[in-house]
Amino acid sequence: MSFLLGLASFFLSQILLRLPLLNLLTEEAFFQVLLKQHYLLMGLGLALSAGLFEETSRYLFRKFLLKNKSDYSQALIFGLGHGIMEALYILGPLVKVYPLSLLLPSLAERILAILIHMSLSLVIWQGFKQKKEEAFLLLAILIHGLIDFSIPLGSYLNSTALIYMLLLIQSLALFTYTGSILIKERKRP
Amino acid sequence: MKKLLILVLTLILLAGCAQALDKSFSEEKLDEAIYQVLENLHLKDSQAIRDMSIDIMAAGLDDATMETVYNLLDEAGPFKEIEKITKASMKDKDLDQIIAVCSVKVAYESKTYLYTMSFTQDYKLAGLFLK
Repeated sequence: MSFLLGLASFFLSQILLRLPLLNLLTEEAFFQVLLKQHYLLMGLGLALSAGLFEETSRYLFRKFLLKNKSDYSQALIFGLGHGIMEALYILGPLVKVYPLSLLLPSLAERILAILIHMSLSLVIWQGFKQKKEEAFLLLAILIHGLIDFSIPLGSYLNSTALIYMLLLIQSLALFTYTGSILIKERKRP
Repeated sequence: MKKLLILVLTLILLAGCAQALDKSFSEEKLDEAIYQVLENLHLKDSQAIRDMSIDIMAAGLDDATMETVYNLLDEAGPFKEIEKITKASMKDKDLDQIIAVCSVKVAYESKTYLYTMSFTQDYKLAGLFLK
């Protein structure tokens, strides 16, 4: 159930809501001008908007549809579903066109993204456990936004190496944090 | 939460400050220029497109680049209609003048493309992107 709701969470927040809105904005000349004139600020805004839509969706699913699934293992399963839906959406069209050998870097990047989604679900679940739901929602939005911001920042500075370095450092920091949550949970009597 | 609110407000403010079409441009002349670019693309008349472009742009529109564009147009099928045109302006530092940026949504039989065309004050093509 958590897995299926995870799939639905990405579908609703991105495919049904954010991406159509973004497409509408992209059709506007003023938006093209803003992107050109304020690339970094717009990049940050768009990255945070991904965080806002996806994390709020995760939060709402947890609050209303997964009330009784407070266990962290459910967060990981939910995040897995969310991440797999994103991977299918991104890689699905490419699989038809490119051979698997060319898709290996994208596959590796998607596996990292799935792990990030599992970790961010854990952050949302932790908010409910500590009864600080909104604070942890905000934290998840910021983490998500900062990770996504690596891409516009790296392309602005024309450095693919910087993108990978930032993604790795941020992911490792996030995994260390969420790993510590899981270890603490296991030690609990 | 406050920081997020400030960022959202900054973006809204930026959107508000984004230049609408500068008064130095004529909407009609821009529409004409847009139709002309599209017509030349559909006719695959590369030279006509180069002739209506600024020098640096014309130099970039070599045969290989144009062939890529024509392949995309072939994939899309016959032209159906222009669905939407929006216009804005911005200062181009390289050209040292205010240019018009036009977003043009065009429907073809099997695909819809979004063109971004920019024009100088004398309605010369200064930029062309196809998405």
